[in-house]
Amino acid sequence: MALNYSHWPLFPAHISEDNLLSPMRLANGYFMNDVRRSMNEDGLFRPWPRIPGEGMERNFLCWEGANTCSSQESTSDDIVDLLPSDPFGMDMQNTLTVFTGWIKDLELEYGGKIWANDCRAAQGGDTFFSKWNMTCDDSLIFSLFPNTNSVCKKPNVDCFTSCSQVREKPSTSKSSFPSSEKLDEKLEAARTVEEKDIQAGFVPFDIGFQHPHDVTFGNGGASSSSGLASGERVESVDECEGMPHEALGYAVAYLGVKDLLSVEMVCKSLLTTVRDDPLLWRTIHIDKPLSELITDDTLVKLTSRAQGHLTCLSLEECKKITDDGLKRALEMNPRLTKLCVPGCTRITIKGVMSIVRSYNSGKRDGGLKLLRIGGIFGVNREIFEELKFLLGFDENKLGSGYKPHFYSRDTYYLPHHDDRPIDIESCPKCEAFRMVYDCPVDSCNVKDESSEVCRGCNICIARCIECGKCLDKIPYLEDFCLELVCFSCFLSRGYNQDNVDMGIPPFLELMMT
Amino acid sequence: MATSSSNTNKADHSKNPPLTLRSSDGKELKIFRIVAQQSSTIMNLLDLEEESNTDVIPVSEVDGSTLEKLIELMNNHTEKSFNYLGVKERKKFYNDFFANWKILDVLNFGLVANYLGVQVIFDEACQKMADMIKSKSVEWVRKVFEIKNDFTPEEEEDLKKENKWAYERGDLDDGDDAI
Repeated sequence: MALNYSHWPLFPAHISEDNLLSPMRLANGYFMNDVRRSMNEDGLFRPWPRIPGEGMERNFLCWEGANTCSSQESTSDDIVDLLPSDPFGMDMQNTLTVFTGWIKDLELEYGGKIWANDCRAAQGGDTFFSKWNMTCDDSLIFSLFPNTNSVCKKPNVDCFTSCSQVREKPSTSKSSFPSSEKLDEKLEAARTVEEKDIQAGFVPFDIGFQHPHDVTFGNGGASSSSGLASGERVESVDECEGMPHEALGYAVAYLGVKDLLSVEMVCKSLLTTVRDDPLLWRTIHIDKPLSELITDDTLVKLTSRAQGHLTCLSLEECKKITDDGLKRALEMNPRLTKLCVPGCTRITIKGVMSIVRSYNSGKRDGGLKLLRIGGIFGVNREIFEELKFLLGFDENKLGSGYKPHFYSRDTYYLPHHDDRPIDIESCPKCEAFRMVYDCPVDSCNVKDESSEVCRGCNICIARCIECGKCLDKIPYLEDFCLELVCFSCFLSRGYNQDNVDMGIPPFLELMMT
Repeated sequence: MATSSSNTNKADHSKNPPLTLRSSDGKELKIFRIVAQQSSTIMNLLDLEEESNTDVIPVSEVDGSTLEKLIELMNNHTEKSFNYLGVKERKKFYNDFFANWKILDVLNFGLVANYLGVQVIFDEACQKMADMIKSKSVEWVRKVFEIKNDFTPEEEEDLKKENKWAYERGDLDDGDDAI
C-alpha cells in the first residue's frame, strides 16, 4: 500500500502502517494539523481546541477503531495506539465527499451566521453531527482542496479563498452565503493576487466587500480588515469557542489607536489582525490622552505598522514629539497626504518646512495636500508664501471658501478631515499667521461694507470657549481654568443646586460689559 | 409583520407590491422594493429570480427579530425627512436606536447588515460596536466576546511591556455593563 508521508517527520516509530492511513491524510501529504480528538460517550470523536505549542507533537490523526479507545479524554502521546484506524472505512477519495456532506448537513455558513449561537443550539441535538464540534484550521481547509492553493502563508488571504470554495460546493436551495455574486468577483480578484504579499495584495479586499470608511477617530478605512474578518470568519465559523467574534474584525477599523493597542492584547488572532493590517494604520490620529504619552520611538513604531501606506498623520498637542522623531516616522511613508501637528510645541517650523519640501518639491502630483500647524510659532510671510507654493492653495479663499471654523474647546484645532489645505492664515486684525476663527453669531456674519467681518485670531477677538461667540456684546466670565465663558454657557454647564449652595468661589469675577 | 408607514412607500404600494423576506425562524416580513433597494444582496437575489414570480426571499442567515429591526431602520432611511437631518441629529437618532442594546446584539445586527449589503447601516453598527468597546480593558473584551486568551504568560508580559506607554495614565475600564 502506498503511503503518503507528511513532510513533518514526527511519527512515533511504533505505529503500524494501518494506523498511519487516516481519512485526514491526503494526496498532497498535508495533515490536519493541530487537531486532537477525543472520544465522547458515544464513541465519537470530539476535537479539542488547538493549544499553541503542542501542534507539532501531535500532527497526526490516526484512528484505530472506536472500540479500542476507552477514555473520553487523553493527553498522553500514546493515544495513537488507542485511537481506531479508519473506523468508517473511509479512504482518501471519500474524504472530500464526506466533508462536504458534513458541511452541508451542518449548514455551515461562512457568511453572516452566528456560529457561536449555532454551536450552542447544535449541542442540544441528538444526531451525530450535533455532537461533532469540528475544529477546522487552515491546513484542513487546504487539505480539502489539494489542487488549489498551496501552503497557506497568509491565512487571511488564502483561507478566505479556499473557504469560499467550500461554501460554493454545497449548492443548497437556501441562499447560504451572503452576496454570492459579489463573492465570485472577489474570488477572481483574490486568485489573481493570491501570490502577492498581503502588504501589496490588499487590493482584492477593496473590491466589493464591505469595508468601513475612513474615520476621524484614529485609523482609516480598513478594507482589508474585511478580508481579515473573513479570515477570522474561517476560524469563528468552524470553531465557536474562544475565537474572536466575526464582527469584531469589522469594528476594529473604527477604533482609535489606544483601543487598537488594547484589542491587540486580547488574543493572537486579534494581534495579527491589528498589527499586520496596514490599512488599519493608514490614518493615525493621536489626541488626548495618548498625546501626552507618545514619544518619538513609539511614534516610529506605530507609523511602521502602516508599511508605507500611511496617508494621514495627525498629532494633536503631542508635546514629546520632536523634529527628528517626526522625520524618522515619515521616512518610510512616502504616500503621506495629510500632516497635522497642531500644538506640538517641540516641533519647529523649520522641521515642518523640510518635511513639506521633501514631499512636495518638484512634484506635480502627489505630495502633501493638507497641513495643520496651528500653535507652532515662527510662521512669517516668507514661510507662508513658500507653503502656498508647495501646497498649491489660494490664500484669498481661506476666509470664505471653506466651512467656517468656530472656536471651542473641541474644535480649537482644525481636524484632519476638514478640507481646508492649511489651518493658519494672516489674521485680518493683527496680520500675524495664526488660526483664525469665524463667528457663529448671525449678526456678525452680515456682509456689510460698514462693519468688519467678525474673523480673527483668539488673541484679537475674545470668544466663549463653549459656543465660540465673540464676547464683545454679551456678558461673560473667567472660569476655574482661566477660560472665558459666556454667561449662558456658564449656566448651562450644569452648575447644580449643590454648587450654588457652596457659593461662588471668590476668585471668579463677573465681567459685565 | 413590519410595514413602512411613510408617504413615499404608500405611493409605491400600488405600483410595486411589497417583497416578503422569510427569516431563518420562518418569520415573514414585508419590505417595499424602494426600501429594499438599500440592500445590495436583496437586489442581487431579485435579479437572479427575475423570471420567477415568487416574491418571497428566504433570508436564512437572519433571525426574525434582527430582520425586523433592520427593516425598521431601512424604512427610516427611506423617509425624506431623514436625509435632511444634520450630523448631530443623525448621531442622536442612532444613539436612540441602539440605546440599551447588548453588544452581542449590535454585533449580530452588524453582521446581518453586512450580509444584506446595507452599507450605511453596517457602518453605523460598526461605529456603535467601536463606541462600546472604547476605553474598555483587555479583560473586558475577552469576557464579553468570550475570547480565549491564547498567549503564554511570557508573550502577554512582552505585549504589556511594549504597550505600557499607552497606559501610564491609568488602566482601562473593566466595566460592569459587560453586555
